[in-house]
Parts: sequence; structure tokens; C-alpha cells
Amino acid sequence: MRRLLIDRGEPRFFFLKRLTPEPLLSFADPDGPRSAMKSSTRLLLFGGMLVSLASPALLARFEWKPVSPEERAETHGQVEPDAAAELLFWEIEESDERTTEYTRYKIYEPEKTADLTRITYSDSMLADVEVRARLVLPDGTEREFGEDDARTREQTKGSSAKERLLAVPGVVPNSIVEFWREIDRGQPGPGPEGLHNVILQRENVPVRQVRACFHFPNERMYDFQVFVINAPDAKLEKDAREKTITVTASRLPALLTEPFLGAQTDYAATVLAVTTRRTLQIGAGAPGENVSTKIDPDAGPWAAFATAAYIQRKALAAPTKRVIELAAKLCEGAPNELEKARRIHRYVQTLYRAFSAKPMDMQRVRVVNATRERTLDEVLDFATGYQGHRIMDSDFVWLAAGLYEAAGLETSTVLLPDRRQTRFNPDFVSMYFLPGMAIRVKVDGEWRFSYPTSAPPPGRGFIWLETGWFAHFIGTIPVVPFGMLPWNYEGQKALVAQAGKQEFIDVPPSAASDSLIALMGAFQLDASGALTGRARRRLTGHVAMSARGSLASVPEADRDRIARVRLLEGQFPGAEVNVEGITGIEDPEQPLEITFSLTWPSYAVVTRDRIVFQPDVFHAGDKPLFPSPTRRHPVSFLWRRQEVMRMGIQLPPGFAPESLEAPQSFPGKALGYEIKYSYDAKRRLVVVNRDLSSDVIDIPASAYPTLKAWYDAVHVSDTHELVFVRSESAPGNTTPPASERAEQ
Amino acid sequence: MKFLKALLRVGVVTLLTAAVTARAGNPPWVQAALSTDVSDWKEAGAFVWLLDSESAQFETPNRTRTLVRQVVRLHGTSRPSALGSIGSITYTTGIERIVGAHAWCIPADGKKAITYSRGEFSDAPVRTINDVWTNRRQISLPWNRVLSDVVFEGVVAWEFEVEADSSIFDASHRFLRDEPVAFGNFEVVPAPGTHVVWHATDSSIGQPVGGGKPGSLLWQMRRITPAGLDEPEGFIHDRLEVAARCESDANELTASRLESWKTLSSLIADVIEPRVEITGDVAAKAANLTAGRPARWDRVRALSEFVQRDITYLSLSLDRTSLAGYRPHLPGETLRDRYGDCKDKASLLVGLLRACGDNGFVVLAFAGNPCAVPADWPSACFNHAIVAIPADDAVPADWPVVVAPDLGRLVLFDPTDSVAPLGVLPQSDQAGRGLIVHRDAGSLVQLPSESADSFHLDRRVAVTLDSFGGLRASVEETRDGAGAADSFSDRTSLRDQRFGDALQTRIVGSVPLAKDLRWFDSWQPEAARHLLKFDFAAERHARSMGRDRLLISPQIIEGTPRFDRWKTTVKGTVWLPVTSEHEVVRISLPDGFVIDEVPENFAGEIAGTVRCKLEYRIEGSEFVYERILVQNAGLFEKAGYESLRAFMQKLGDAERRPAILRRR
Repeated sequence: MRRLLIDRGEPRFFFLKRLTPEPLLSFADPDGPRSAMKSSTRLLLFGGMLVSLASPALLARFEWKPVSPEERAETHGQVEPDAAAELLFWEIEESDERTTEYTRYKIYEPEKTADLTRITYSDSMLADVEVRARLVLPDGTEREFGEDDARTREQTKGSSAKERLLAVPGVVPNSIVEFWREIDRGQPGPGPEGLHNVILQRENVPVRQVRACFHFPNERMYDFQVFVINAPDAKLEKDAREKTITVTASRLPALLTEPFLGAQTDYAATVLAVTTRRTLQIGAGAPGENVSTKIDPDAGPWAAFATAAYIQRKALAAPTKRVIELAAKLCEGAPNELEKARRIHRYVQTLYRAFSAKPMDMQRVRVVNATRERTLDEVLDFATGYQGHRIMDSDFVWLAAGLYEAAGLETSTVLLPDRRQTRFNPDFVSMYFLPGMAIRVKVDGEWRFSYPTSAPPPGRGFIWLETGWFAHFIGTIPVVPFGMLPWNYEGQKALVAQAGKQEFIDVPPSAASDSLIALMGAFQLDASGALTGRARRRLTGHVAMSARGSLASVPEADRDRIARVRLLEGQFPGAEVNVEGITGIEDPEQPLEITFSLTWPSYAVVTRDRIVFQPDVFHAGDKPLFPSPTRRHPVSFLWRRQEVMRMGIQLPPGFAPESLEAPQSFPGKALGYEIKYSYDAKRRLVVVNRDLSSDVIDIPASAYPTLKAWYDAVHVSDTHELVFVRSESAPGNTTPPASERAEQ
Repeated sequence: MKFLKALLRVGVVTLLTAAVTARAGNPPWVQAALSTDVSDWKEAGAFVWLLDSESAQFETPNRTRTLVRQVVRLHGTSRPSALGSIGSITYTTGIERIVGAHAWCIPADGKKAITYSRGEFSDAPVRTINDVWTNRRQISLPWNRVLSDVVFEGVVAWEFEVEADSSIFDASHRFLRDEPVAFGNFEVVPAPGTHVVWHATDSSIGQPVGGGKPGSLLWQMRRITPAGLDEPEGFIHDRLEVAARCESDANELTASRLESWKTLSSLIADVIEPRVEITGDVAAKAANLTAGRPARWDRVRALSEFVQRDITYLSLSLDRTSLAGYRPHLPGETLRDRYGDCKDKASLLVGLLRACGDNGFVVLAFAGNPCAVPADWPSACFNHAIVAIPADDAVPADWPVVVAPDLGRLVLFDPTDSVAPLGVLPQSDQAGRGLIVHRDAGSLVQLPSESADSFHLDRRVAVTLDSFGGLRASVEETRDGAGAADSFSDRTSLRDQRFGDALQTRIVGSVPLAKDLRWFDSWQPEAARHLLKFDFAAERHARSMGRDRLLISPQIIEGTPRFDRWKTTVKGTVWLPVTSEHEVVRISLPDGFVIDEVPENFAGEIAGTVRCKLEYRIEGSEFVYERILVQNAGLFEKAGYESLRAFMQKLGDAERRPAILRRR
């Protein structure tokens, strides 16, 4: 059964509804998780493997498919005629034991597509890899290549594993190059659970036809669901006898890189294949209260996951005596609930930052992770003490939950979808679509979020700001203050962890005013057109988190330079920027503030009689945000934001305004912009006040023209110029220009 | 049962920990490095090199044993991703052998050092992009474990010992790093019966002193500022490199195998020339490609286009000798496989030329760095191979030609560049030095830089302005030379949609509201010419002042680029390619408007470097702006660069000056 959903301009979701019966829920016996899988179930699983392995489709001997004369004769692509190559077909077959992939490329221009004609692969301890290739020349000549044609080198010293390169030789224009690859895992790995994304489009290579076939695992053990998003013409078929779900799609254009794109799953044709265990295994440890393991089917498909998370929290976040004492110590003298909550959040976050700064030593982790029965005391010990013991991010969430509870604050755990992974859709029922976890804390009657497991990004260069105003890519989650969530968990829903109930709460994007860019400056212009002055940039919320991440990860001695290079110089091209101070780097509760001086030679254009300049110094170096007249994919801003600018620019003596037309404002709710100039003739001072507010995050491609027009108009207003003319009667005309003064 | 399980776990952890972290004392050189005080040194970096030491001992003139000892102090913000490839060494299987590898981690809390032995280092192939496949491997510290042990503000030291067949290669050490170096040293110990000869890239390295062993030389530098900070575009830093080798004491005047470039050329010719084998398939291909082309350069063009377009790039060097990097595949193999690297492609082209009775030579160069090959130090320091073809009178004057002492005039061509046609040398190959490979007549030649005559941009802009400031512009850009090849290469790799977007982005840099863009382009490889025509419209482009004036800058399309300031304190030069632009902008005034104020003409020159002219005039109802800018290619020291930057700044200011139009 298929349904079509279209809502609020977000990507179109075509999905295949659950193909298996509603999930059953049963919980682990108090004795431990291993007993959760009954011996009969194990037998069934093993039987399922045999059935799957014996599948005729998988055991069939591979044969190259015939190439038609029309394919050989083609000289241009059908999907995009100017493409240097086209993927004529692409077949993927996925099962628990094996992945096979068959690709047929038509190579129109070999020198631009060399990477398509070669493949690098490795054996691993977990799987055998076999690769074959075939070349079909335009004249029909065929050559096949296999293991013997691959270059081989030792992978890791001392191991038998090899790395191989199979480069198809002899490719001429209009050749067909095919690869067949099989990854044989031999036997099921730890389990088929998980989310498997298959992006059906390629960068720079259009796809004429794609077929992805998934062999679903044992139905008694697992729910298996396949969803296709962003591919309205894709077809889905279920073959109950073969136990397969097959997705086919055709004529998919090459992926296009555009500014302000969200995750690839926001716009690329994608298959989401998710396998979820029907019998949820809860970590060991008895729940603190009796919870029914029978979930009312009418409670909703997510109720089972909410219950599981609830039980887990009860088992792992129970405050110990030491935690109670710690909470009391942390909250000592706190005047209100908000302060208590902030202190606990800050404490756990600091602990987590120190912990996450230590790289994982996998060799030791394996040993310690077997012991999951950790109390919060052990979490405290492991986080601060013996380095061989490693704990998981979620342990810090449990610690915070325990501390909040010990401090008398009402809390609940929430499970969050991640915008970096996939947009949430309540019909996509699996825990894999709710990868985040945070705590909801009731403070003075109002629910607030606490996300203590955030740390600065590792190393340099993981964060960069495209224009200084918008964080475009963030490698890891920045440090989040109490009350906020990382941007990627905002703007969707959250599932509340509670027993036997399915309750989603809204997690709206944080308000624009929470992510504020405040710009202040006092500048002087001299008669040569040079601008000098001091300025301050104050950032809060998400913009501060992003910039803070950029600065916190570099040594202190390098921070001024990094702030100058990454955050300022791009805004003032040609200016000499000198950072005078930075505050608020370490404390996420405080605004991040950068104070700097500016010397900008030739800021204004000086003609014989006039001086022409842009009063808005902070945006003088801007380029239009959306230059392209067209848009293929939706626009995705990371967060709402607000900009407030207050600045003054003093003119040199001897000039009077020739034209003082103010630029246009564009007030509005979703996008609002107001700019106001005033001129104080006595002080020769132009004052500019500018306010911009952006309350939108996701904009469908269809609304792009409106968005572009708005930003273009703002750009014109931001770069509006004033013209002052030399005048005998202008104030201060008795004073020589600054440049002459300097010479005197 | 639970107790037994727990006991077992503890036992396993203990055993593993014991195996991994055998505790030991620090060797004296680590201890000495630890006492280096850098607290007053505020150089930025993810870490500080307390010691960067290398000692190369020539066991014979062709065999070295090198000991690398390095010590770094980590900052609180150091992460594995910021550590790059430190704590590792690359080697080529069969040529170099890792004799020893040890590391010591000294936690900041003063705990005893934790040592790592060779078996705990990772040893894996050097992974590059999909077009290089070699026997290079990298042995590296297990950083995740090291950082787990050292945490932050700690010190990590390591030592590698490598045996290598040095063959024609020098022992060398680069003092300049991407992070600050508190103390660096390089010692070279000569083989018995020899002495050390050496070359340093900069005088700041200083003269060597005697080392700890007979005849050895030692170079030392302290507090070396890191590279990579605040460098202007095109900056080539001096690597602060010392290269050294042994010369025989017995026959000092003649024994050095690399006494001249000619000697080196002859040695490399012995490697390359036997591989340029003209087999039947090569001859047949040459005949096929040149059939029906009576003119010599038409034949050469057909061969060169075939190699540059139909042979894709793939570097496969797996033979295990020290000269593998110089040994090409046979032309027949490259022809059959349709892939190869620069030396394969160069050898194939030489083979094809010879197969049809012409000639050619492989030329070794260093792409991307015109300063990399020192004229006075013959050494195997190349990273690229191109081709030289004997010139004749039919060669146009603007082709890249060098004059070799014994081989005469030679046309240079780079078959690895898939676009730059015969007659154009890609910018990355220009201005450095190249070694013509020949058994008897090889020589080092200065590779040419493109002149303003051959590299040219001609832009014609016709603008119609309306009385509200809106414009419609038609632009015709003709590029010649390497710039044309670059421009065409970008255009084809971007394809239609992305090239259109890139062009739009370029236009909105000066005309923010540009719309309705249409474009067309054509490429003429024989003339190395790329023609791009486009037109667009924009509302309210000219700024209105009151009701009767319009203000417009005639620099409709992007003007002179802004040069970065030279802020770095690292020694180096800036390489700037040639710029030669001629632009004419004709603006048709709106009905009823006249020019009220015309910008002042501007002209300037720095002799031998740059000259420009901006001229404004009125021709009938048109306001005409003409701009000529010629900046010669060259290497610039700081003073020269800053003069040029200031000049360009003035030019940029002049270009921005608006004309003021007034309603009659």
C-alpha cells in the first residue's frame, strides 16, 4: 500500500507502508539480555539464514547482460546530454550475507571520467570481495577483467588482507564499462538491525535506470521497512515468495551542489531500508517500578520505543547516594530552579567535554563495554578517572537525569530525530529515525531542554562560515547551553520516553532572537576615502555556538588570528582587521563577543567633487546570497536568526550630503528587514540602524524566486551608497582633511 | 559465577594494558628536548616541535641509514585530525627498510613515559586519490592510543631508523614545518673515503659545523616560524632545506655522479630511453593518426591531442627499484591500456613522434613551484614530465620554446594537461627549470613564462542604460593562451548548468541584480582561444541621485583583483602569472541624459612589471571606457610584491570611480 504525503514544501515522501505485521514487544528477563532471545527464536534465525542463503537469486551464477547495438552507438547521454558519462543501469542487491552491485556506464568522454573506469577495493576480515569488469567498445569488441587483472598490494603489514585496484584498460570514447562487485560476508554478522541509506543519484553522473533489491530478514524476528524519498516516480514491489522488496527508478539527474543545502536525504532520491528487531532488548538491570511489558496496540506504533526508553532510564539513571550528595553540592545556594538546572547541565557538560577529548582506545573499549551494568557512581568514576574504562555518551545523559532528579527537578527523557540524517516522518517507525537523546527539565513550571553531551569539534577546520553570518557545515555538535538543543535536533518532533504511551512533542526551532548577531561600530572616513574605526560583534545562540566551536578548538595563541581569518576578514575585503579581544569562548551561557579595529583604505570612492560610500560598513563586502536564478533543491538554513546593527560613520569635514535617499526596508514576519539612516550635520555623522530577522529554515525550491528576490532586495539596501559633495558651507570645512593633517 | 567473570575481565584488561604500555625511562635525547622552554614563544600551532632531528649516515655513497628523532609538545586543543601525518614516515617497499621504530609518551602529569615498539605502529599503504597506485607505505604512531595515554599538554617522542638505497637521490632535511619548531638539526655522516657536499636553499640555515662522527656535518636551527599562516596567494615559501650527498675523496673532480645536470640527464636517460620502444602497434597508431597530414606540425598536433585526450591519468609504479619513479611504462603498454602518468604519457608521445620520423625528448620539471629546482645543485628533485619537440621555422613566435645548448630550439608540450593545446604551456609548468633527458646532450633549461602577447583577455562590453538606471549588457570575452585553456577546462568540467551558475556568480559580484543571463562559448584549440559571449539585464544598476542624476561605474564586469597583504614572516617569494587585459565598455546613455562628471583618466607603470591605462571618453551618445592592464609574470620578493599590490590597489580604486549622468 502506498500513500502520498505533501506538506509545507518539504521533500515529498513516497513510502511503502509496513510490509510485516505490527511489531510485538517483549522485554528482557531480569536475568540479563541474552535470555531475551529464546532458543526457539535462535533456531528460527538460523533457519532464516539458510533460507536466505539458499535463495536462487543469490546463488544464480553471474552473467553479463547483453549490450544492445543502440547502447553501443550512443554518443550523448539521454538524461543530461552534456554529461561526460551516464550510468545506464545500476543494480544493487542487498541481503544480510551479501551485497552485489552491477553498474553499466556509458563513457562519452574518457578523460573526464577516468575515476568511473577504475575501482579500488579491499578484502577484510569480515567479507570476501569479488570484482569483475567488462569493456565493450563501440565496434562491439568485448573484454572481461577479473581478479587476475587487478593490481594487488598488502593492506596491513603482516596480514593476508590485500588492497586491489582494477582499472579497465583500453577505454575509448563511447565505450561501455561495466563493473560487478560482490561483498560476501559469508554468514550473518552481529545482526541485520539498522538503517541503510542508499542514495540513488550520483554527483556529475546521471542515472538512466536503477534497481535496488533488498532481501528482508526473518519476519518473526524483525520488522523490515523500505521507504523511498525524493523520487516521485520510483516503483516499489514486494515479492513474498523471494522475500524481497525492490525499488526501481529511472532518469535521475546528477546531483547538483547548491548553496544552503540540507542533508542529502532532503533532496536526493534515497532508499531508506530499516531493519528493527521486534523483540526489544532492554539493558540489564531491573526497572525501578513495575512496567507492563504488554503494550496496548492502540497506543500507537511508537509506544513500544517510548516504553523501552523509559525502562532504560529507570534502570540506568537512578540516583545513588553519591549522586544525591553531588546534586546537593552543585545546587547549594542556587536561588531558583533555573540556576539549579544550569549548574547541573554545566557540570555534566564539562565532564563530558573532558571525556570526549580523550580519543577512544578501541582495544580497551571492547573489554570494558561488555560490562554495561554501570551505576551512576561508576559513570562518575570512569568519566574522570581510570582511562581504560570507556563509557558511552548516553551515560552522561543518564548522569544528568539522575542529578536533576536528585535535585528535585521533574524530568523526562526525549528521543530526537536528526536533521542531518533524515527528516522525521511518524510513519517511518523505527528507533533508527530517533538517534538523539536529551532531557526535558521542568523549570519554574516550564519545560526546558538539556543536552549535556556536546563538545567542541576536533581539530581545526571542521567548522567554517560561508559568509560570516551563516554556519554552513558543522562537523560535530557544538557546546550547547542549558535550554537549547543543537540545531540538528530542532524543528521537528520528539518522542517522550514513558511507559505504554506514544506522545510526540513539538521541538520548534529556537527563536530568531535566541541566535542574535549584534554589530556595533564607530567609524571615521577621511577625505582620501579611508575608513578607520572600532567595532564589536556579539553572538548568541546557534551563531555563537558555531563560532565558538571554531575558536575553542585552536590554541589560545592562535584564536585572534583564527577569528580574524575565519570570522572577520571575509566581511571586510581589503581592510586591515585587528582583533582586540574575544570573550565568551569557553562559557556557552555567555555571548561570544569579538572586538576589533578596522582600517580600510579606499573604502569610499573619491571623485573630483564628491565622496561616495556605503554607510553600512558591516555589509559593504557582501555578495548576493543567492546568485543563481534557478534552484533544483530546497533551501535549508540551519537555524532562525536575528541581526541587529547600530553604527555611525563620521564624514570628513568639508562635505555636505548631495543625496540622502534612504534604502528600502522590507518588514515582514517570516523575513523582516528594516534599515534607517540619519544624518547629524553638526557632527558630520551618518547613523545606520539595521534589523534583520529570519524565521524560516526550510524553503522549497518552488519558493526560491521569492526568497532570492527578498535577499537581492536586502543586498541592494545593504550596499546602498550615499553621495556627499564638497561644499564651502559644509560644517567643519575649515579643517583640512585627515590625510593633510597627517602630512602637517 | 559473576565474580569469576569479573575476575576474568580484570585479568584480560591487565594483560592487555601490560602488553601495550611497557613502562620505561626516557632516552637522553628525549630528556634533553623536554627541558626546552617554549613558554615565552607564542607561535600558533596545534603543537610545537621541541625537537626535529634527522641524521643520515652514508654507509656507501649509494646507501644511507637515517635516524629520525622528533619530539612534540601537544596543546590542550590538539586532536588527531590536527596532528596530520606527524609521528609517521613513508617508505617504499623494496627500496627502503624500516630498521626501527619506537615512541615515548610523557603525560603532562609527570607520570613515567609509556613506550611503544615497532609492532604497535600501524603500517599501511599510502592512500591517495584513485589515480595513483604505488608501493609507498606509511608507518605511523597509533595516535588514538597515544592521545589516550598522554592526554593533553603532554609530550610525544618517536624515533625511526630507515635504510635506503639512495641511488641518485640526496639525503635531505626540511627545517620549515607547518607548526613551530623549537629546535631542528640535520647531520650527514659521509661514507668511508668520501666527504659531504651539500646545498642549502637559504642562507639563514647557516653554515654547518662538524658533527659527532668523522667528516660529518651538522646544521642547526632554532625557533622556526611555521609556514602557512597569512601567506598571500601564490606564495612559495623557502623550505629551508638542506640536501647532501657524498663525493669521493680520491678523485674529487670527477667522481661525483651528479657533478652536472648533464650527468644527471645522462643517468636518467639510461632509465627512460630504453623504455621508449617503438613497437608495431605504436608505429601503426602514429601512422593512423598522422595519415593525410602533410604539414609537420599538423602531424605533431594530432599525436599530442591523442595522448592528452585519449590517455587518462593513472600512475602505476610498482617496480621495486629506487628509480621506479623515473621509469615509464612501455609506449605500447600505455597505448594498449589507455592510461598512464606523466612520464608514461611523455614517453608515449616521444615514441609516437619517433615512430613517424619526428623526434622528441622527455623533459623533467617540477609542476606548481618554479623555485623547486635549484640551478646550482644537480639533483633528482622533479615531480613531473613533459615533452620537448625540435622546433623549426614554422613554429609561431608565441609558442613555448626553449633553447638547449646542444639540441637547439625545442617546443615544450605537456601531454598530462588534457586541455592546453600544442603551442601553450600550462601555467603550472611555467617559469621553473626543466631537465631535458638525453644521453649525451641533456641540459637544464629555464622554462618559459607566457608573455602578454600570447596570454590575453580581450573584453568588449556594450551597455544600454535606461533612465531608471536599468541596464542591458552584451559581453564578448576572448581569451588566448594558457588562460584560455584554463577557462575552457573550467567550462567543460562544470558542464552547462554549473557553468551558468558560476558565470552568474561572477557577474553579480559587480552587478548584483543581474538576471536573464544567456551565454555561448566556443573553443579553438589550434589558436588556443576560448570565446565566451553572454548578455544579461539588471534593474536599478545605476544609482539614482535625486530625480535627475544617475551614478554608474563603467567597470561592469569584475575589475582588477585585490591582492592579499604580505603578512607572513616566513621567507619566500610570490609567483604571479602574466595578466594581459584589454577591455572596452560602451555605455549608451538613456534619452535625455548627458555626462555630468567623467572620472579622471588613470595611467601608471612599474617598469618591467606592470602598466595600465584607464581612459574615459564620450563618443556621440556613448560613454566609452577603455582599460589596458599588462602585468608580466614573475617571482616577487616582499618589497616588489607590496609595490605591485599598492599599484593594483590604486588601479582598483580608479576603476571604481563612477561617472555621473545628468538629465538635460
